[in-house]
Amino acid sequence: MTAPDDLRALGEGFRILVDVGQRLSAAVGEALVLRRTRFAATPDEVERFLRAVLRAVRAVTEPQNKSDVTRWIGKFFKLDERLADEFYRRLVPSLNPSGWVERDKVKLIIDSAVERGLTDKPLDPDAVTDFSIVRQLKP
Amino acid sequence: MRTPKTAIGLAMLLLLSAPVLAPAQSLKEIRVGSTDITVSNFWIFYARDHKFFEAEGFDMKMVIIKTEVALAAMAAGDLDYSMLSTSSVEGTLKRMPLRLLAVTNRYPLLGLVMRKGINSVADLRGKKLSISSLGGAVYGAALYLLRAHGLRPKEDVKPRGGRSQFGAHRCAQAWFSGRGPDDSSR
Repeated sequence: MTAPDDLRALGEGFRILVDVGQRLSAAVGEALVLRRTRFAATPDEVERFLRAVLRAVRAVTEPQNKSDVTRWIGKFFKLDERLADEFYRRLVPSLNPSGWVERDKVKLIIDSAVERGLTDKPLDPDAVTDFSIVRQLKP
Repeated sequence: MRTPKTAIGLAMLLLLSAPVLAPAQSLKEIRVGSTDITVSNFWIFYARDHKFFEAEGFDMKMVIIKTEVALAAMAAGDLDYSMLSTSSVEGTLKRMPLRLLAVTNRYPLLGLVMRKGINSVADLRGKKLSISSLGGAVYGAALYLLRAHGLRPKEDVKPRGGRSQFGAHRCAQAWFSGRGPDDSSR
C-alpha cells in the first residue's frame, strides 16, 4: 500500500510489517521522461521545466520548510497533524534532490527487464537516460 | 456617444490590466502524464501551488493516463513529459524514442500492511494480498518481496487487485479536479 494510506491503516488496527520501498534495489521512484527528439529540439525549455521540478523536490526536503511542507501535505492528503508529521519523516529520505541516480541503479532496471524476457538486447544505461541538465542544476 | 473622459478612463483601465494579463497569456502549457496521483509525484502539485512552474513560464497540466497509453502518447508527441520510470526504461529497451531526464524519488514509499496475527512475510503463505492494481510498480514490488521471502506469487499467495479503502487517492483526485481536499469524500 502506498504511503500515506499505509499510515492511515495504522489507525484502523493494522500494522506496517515491511517498509517495502527501501528493500527494492531494482527500482527507482518517480522519474521524468521526455521524447528524445523533443529534448534535442528544446533544451532551454527542458532546463526550465526541470529547474521548477527540482526546486519543488529540494524545497520539500529542506529542513527550514518543514512546517510549510507538513501543513501542505496534511491538506493535500487529508492527514491530521500527527500523521502528516510521521509521513514527512518517511517522505524526506525517499526524495532525490539531486535529480539523478548512478548508472548501476538504471542498469538494475535493465537487467530486471532482460530477466523477465522483455528484451534480449540490453542497452547501456546511458542510452536510456540523460542527466546532463539535472547535474548542472545545483541547489 | 463616448466622451474623451470615458475613452481616457478605458485606456487607463487597459493599461493597468495589461501587466496582470500578460504573464498568464505567455505561459506555455506543459502536459505531464502519470498513471495516478501518489506520494511519489505529489511534489508536482507542490510546485504548481507554489508557482514554481509559472516562474519558469509554464502552465503545468497533469494528465492521468494508463501506462501503455502514456508511452504511446509520449512517442507520438501528445504528452510533453511522463512520470513513468521503470516502464519508460523498458519502453526504451523496446526502441521507443524516450529519455529519462530526472529521478525525483530514491525509492517508492510502500508499506506491507498486515492485520494483527501476521508477524512475518512468510506468514502470508496461503493468504490473499490486496494490491492497488495487478501490474505496475506496486504489483512489481509485491512480487519482488514475496519471492525474496521464498514465496511464489499466485501459488503461495494470491494477489488481488483493488483500491485502498483509506482514501489518499480520492483526496488527491479531489485536489486535482479542483474541488479541493475539503470537498472530497472519504
